[in-house]
Amino acid sequence: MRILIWIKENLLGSKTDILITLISAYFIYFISSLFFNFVFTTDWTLIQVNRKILLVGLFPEEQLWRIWTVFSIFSILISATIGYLYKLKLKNSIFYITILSIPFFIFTTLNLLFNILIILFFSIISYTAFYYFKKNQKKIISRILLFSWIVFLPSLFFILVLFGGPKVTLWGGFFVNLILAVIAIIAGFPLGVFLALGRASSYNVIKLVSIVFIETFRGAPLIAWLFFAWFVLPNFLPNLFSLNDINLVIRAMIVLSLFSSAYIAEVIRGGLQSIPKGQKEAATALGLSSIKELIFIVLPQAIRVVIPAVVSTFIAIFKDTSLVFILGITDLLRVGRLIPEQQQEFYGKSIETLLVVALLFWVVSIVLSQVSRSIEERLNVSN
Amino acid sequence: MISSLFKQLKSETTTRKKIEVLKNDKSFRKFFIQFIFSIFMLFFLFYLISRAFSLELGFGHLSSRAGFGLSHSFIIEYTSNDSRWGAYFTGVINTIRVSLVGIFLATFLGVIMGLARLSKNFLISKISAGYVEFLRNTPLLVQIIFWQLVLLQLPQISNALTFGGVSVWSNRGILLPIISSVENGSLWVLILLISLIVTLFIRSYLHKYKEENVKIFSPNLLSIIFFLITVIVSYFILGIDLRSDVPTLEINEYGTYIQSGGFVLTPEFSAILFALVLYTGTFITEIVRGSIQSLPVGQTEAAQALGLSTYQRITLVILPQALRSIIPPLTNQYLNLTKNSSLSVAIAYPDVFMVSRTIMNNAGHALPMLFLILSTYLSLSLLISLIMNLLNRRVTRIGT
Amino acid sequence: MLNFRTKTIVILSLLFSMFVIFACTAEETSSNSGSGSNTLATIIDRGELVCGVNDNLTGFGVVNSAGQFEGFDIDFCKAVAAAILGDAGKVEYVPLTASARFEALAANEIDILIRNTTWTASRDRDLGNDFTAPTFYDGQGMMVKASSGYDSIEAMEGATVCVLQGTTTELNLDDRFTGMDYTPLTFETNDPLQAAYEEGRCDGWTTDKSGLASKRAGFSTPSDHVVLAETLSKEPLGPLTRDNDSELYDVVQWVVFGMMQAEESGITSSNVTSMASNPSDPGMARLLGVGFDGGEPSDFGFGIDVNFMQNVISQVGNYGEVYERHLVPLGLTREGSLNAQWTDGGLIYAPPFR
Repeated sequence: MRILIWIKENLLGSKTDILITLISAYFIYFISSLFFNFVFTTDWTLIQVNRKILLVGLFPEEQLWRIWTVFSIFSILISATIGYLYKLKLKNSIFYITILSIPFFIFTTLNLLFNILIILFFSIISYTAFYYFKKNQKKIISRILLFSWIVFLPSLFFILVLFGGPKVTLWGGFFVNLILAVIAIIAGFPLGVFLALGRASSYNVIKLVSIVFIETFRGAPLIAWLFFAWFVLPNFLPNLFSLNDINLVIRAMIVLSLFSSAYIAEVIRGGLQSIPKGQKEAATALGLSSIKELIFIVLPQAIRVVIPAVVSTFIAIFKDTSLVFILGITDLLRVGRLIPEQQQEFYGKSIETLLVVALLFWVVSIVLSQVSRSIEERLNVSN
Repeated sequence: MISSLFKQLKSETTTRKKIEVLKNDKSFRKFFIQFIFSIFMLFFLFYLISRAFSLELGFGHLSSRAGFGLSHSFIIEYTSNDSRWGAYFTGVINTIRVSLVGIFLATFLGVIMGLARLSKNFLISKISAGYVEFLRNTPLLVQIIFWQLVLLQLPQISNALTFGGVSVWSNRGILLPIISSVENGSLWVLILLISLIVTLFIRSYLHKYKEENVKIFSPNLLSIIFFLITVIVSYFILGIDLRSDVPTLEINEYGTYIQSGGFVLTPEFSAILFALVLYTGTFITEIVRGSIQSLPVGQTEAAQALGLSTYQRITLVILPQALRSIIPPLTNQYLNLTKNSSLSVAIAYPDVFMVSRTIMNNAGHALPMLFLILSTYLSLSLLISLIMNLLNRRVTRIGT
Repeated sequence: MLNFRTKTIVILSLLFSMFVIFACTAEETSSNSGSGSNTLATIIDRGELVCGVNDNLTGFGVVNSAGQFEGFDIDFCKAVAAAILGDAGKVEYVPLTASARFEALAANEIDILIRNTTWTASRDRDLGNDFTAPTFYDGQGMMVKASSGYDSIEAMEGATVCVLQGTTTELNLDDRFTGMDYTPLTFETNDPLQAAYEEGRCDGWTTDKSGLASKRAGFSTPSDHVVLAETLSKEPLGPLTRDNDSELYDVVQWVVFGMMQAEESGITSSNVTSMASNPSDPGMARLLGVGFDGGEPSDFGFGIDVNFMQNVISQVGNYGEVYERHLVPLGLTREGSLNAQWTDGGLIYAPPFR
């Protein structure tokens, strides 16, 4: 009975309402039938066969343990952080589990399953461990967590490259997109903070330089910057450490970091502007020097206010990593486009690969935006 | 300020105390830090410039013959005999063309979807939510390629669909009838658009004078008269000969299908357009939604209490107020759309970036081309920001 | 008393100025263009050859299902590596798009470029490259659907032609169609181009005839497509190095000539060791870097092992073997073409090893 009332109110309110409902229903039917028809009638073997190339490109088989190591450390750290900050609500967990299991089912084979289960096991252990210990030994736990993150980030690189790691030119597939995005964000964020501070500072020269930097990088599309990074950047790097000989992936990282720092700077500037003047005056009254005032009062508030915008910038950067094809880097999208072209047996199956590529990007972006929404809710509650 | 500083310095005896004075003086500190910073920046700049000389510089290569053809040229007729500047300019026009149409369509779509999202109708609200969630989180490049593949599925030109002899649909493009002129047709349209904008400005100025009680007779009529005069005068000066242009599909003597007449929507242009509109539309949807949701609920309730229909409520009460907070983020999205049009390099639409690549391929000179591209996109961004700022000022003028 | 803040500022500025001064003065110790470079020494130092290649052209440069590069051009990369480093496997392959290859070479990102590249005047001078003798005499052609009925370029009045960006193909196409109406569709990569051609978006596909042959072989029904007889241009394809890089240039040049000469002399990968231990004439001895009749082996001063050609031929093969391995399966026969030996009426001719 209640359902009928609900239908009447929400779907059949007025004449226009009925019309809209009919059109929408037909639209949904049309799109889903197209979609499911396609998904269930095509042959998906090309994905099964090309799993590895899609995910890691030409990375040599025997070196894949490096990626596994990085992945496991990363997921354990993430679970620890979640355990420290948060109690997982059932609704959210179900959402994450369902979303993450889609690529999981597409890409896992039996032997990979074993690895994944072990990682899952350790992640759950770390989550529970940090969640319970948080109550008693908060200080020690937070120090351990912070220390691990700080140590992890540079060691990421070392694990992948040191002691006979494969050439960076062999990196490819989804892995390259993830690494480029992570590095661009990690490098771009502090640089963006500096730029935002410079932009808002009262020192006119510093302000001018920041503005020039930000507007220049925001002025041209990323694809133009990437393209020119290839041809023009080597000339501008000093001859130390044969820097002007560095390969494409590193160059893409540099350009992406600079580009994302410009956008992050603008976002943080908005946050800085939103802080009431009273805060600064209170800090001066308390006798804090301007640097201390910056670190302890201004920045935390500014960043907290703009976290949703920052996360959406992160998502945008992650999507933009698909543009590195112009440098010839075989990222996920490029691999997806090359498979139907280069492999005889899968000729003409471009839409299948495109859908899988889109799915992988979509999964990561959706998870990130849901995380940002949870953070937003949490901050609103606590404020 | 400086004289007091000097006085203080003189009054101190030891150098140490003098340094103390300098350190504590705020304006000197500011000056000093900026001075040091500028020295470093100058060094850095000097380093960059000295490095730049190892690259090819100069724009001379742009005056030589292009030698390559372009598939889309609008307003100006580009041939391979033109100079590279001509090719570049064609690219700029192509970029403007897709960006302009994209901006309009994306705004339209975004507003509709934003309103749909907030509608009471469950289905359409969910469709809008799904639209945003799916298309916002997929990279634009993937969407462009997807649309290109989809548009290639249209029938081949030998089996083209004709609709009453008026429109032809195939995977070589959608042909639509249009009214055009033998000569100077696009130029006239350009003049029409410009005079329309000028007319609107004149109208607002005349209205302003009217408010200030200067005796002006019906500003609206005057503006319309002005517009009509411009239209008619330019019509005759340019020798416009209007005729309806119905597209035809012919086969020449060798069996090649020739599309002539009418207005061609090529699959490349359409693919970029669809992808850009759908992608940017998601962001605009969210902006519109956020903006409407930030309005006090009382507005909606008051409008309903007054007995306004839903349509009236939206157009007379909600949207005008929502406009106030929409424009800055909307401008941002327009700029993004314009810059994202450079992704047409993935399919064969010659925008300014792709033309630059071809020029660079044939003649090198990467650094000057970078500056050229930077300036082009910066000017376009500036133009869009200027127009939107004017709109913003007008919209936020009333009230607070 | 210097407090913490001042100390930090002073230290940071010192570090920064050190960096700046260091960077400014550590200039151009090994510049690339203008004053000349010695990439050969770099290669030997590095222990690996960095070769710019194609990863998307069957027969010339492509990645097989095992993830390895193979093709006609790839084999020449291997040959150069075998000559310089003694091991044909010591190559790092850098796949490049057509529009990016020259800048990659100029930017020192690769040592040599062997990527079905045409030798033209502007590329030689303007772009700062040096071309060795062509390894493959090609020409630009046009592929059309058999059902279209085109028999010559003249018949393609008003047609739409798909072409890849950044090659001489665009310019040649435009030159050929002077006076004729046509629409070029310029793509950045091959995958959308191929899709467009197959779906009938364009009437023809133009690129080097070798490329057309390889693509045509990959279609589901090759007989549905026809490569027109007319050649739109001369496209001599071969390896290239940077300008003023003579040591490396000479090595690459003479590796190529050595492979051609080996075929002419009848030396193959199977008999090279026996030929080397017992050369049948002084010419063969000089080629293989061994002494003849108890004499000294000839060292031409390339800066690499005297018996480099032995490494090349045993590990890669002679010109004919390489050609047969990769291009004959595509249907590119040598008989009667420009790519036959000069003794058979073609253009494959090696100057004397003397």
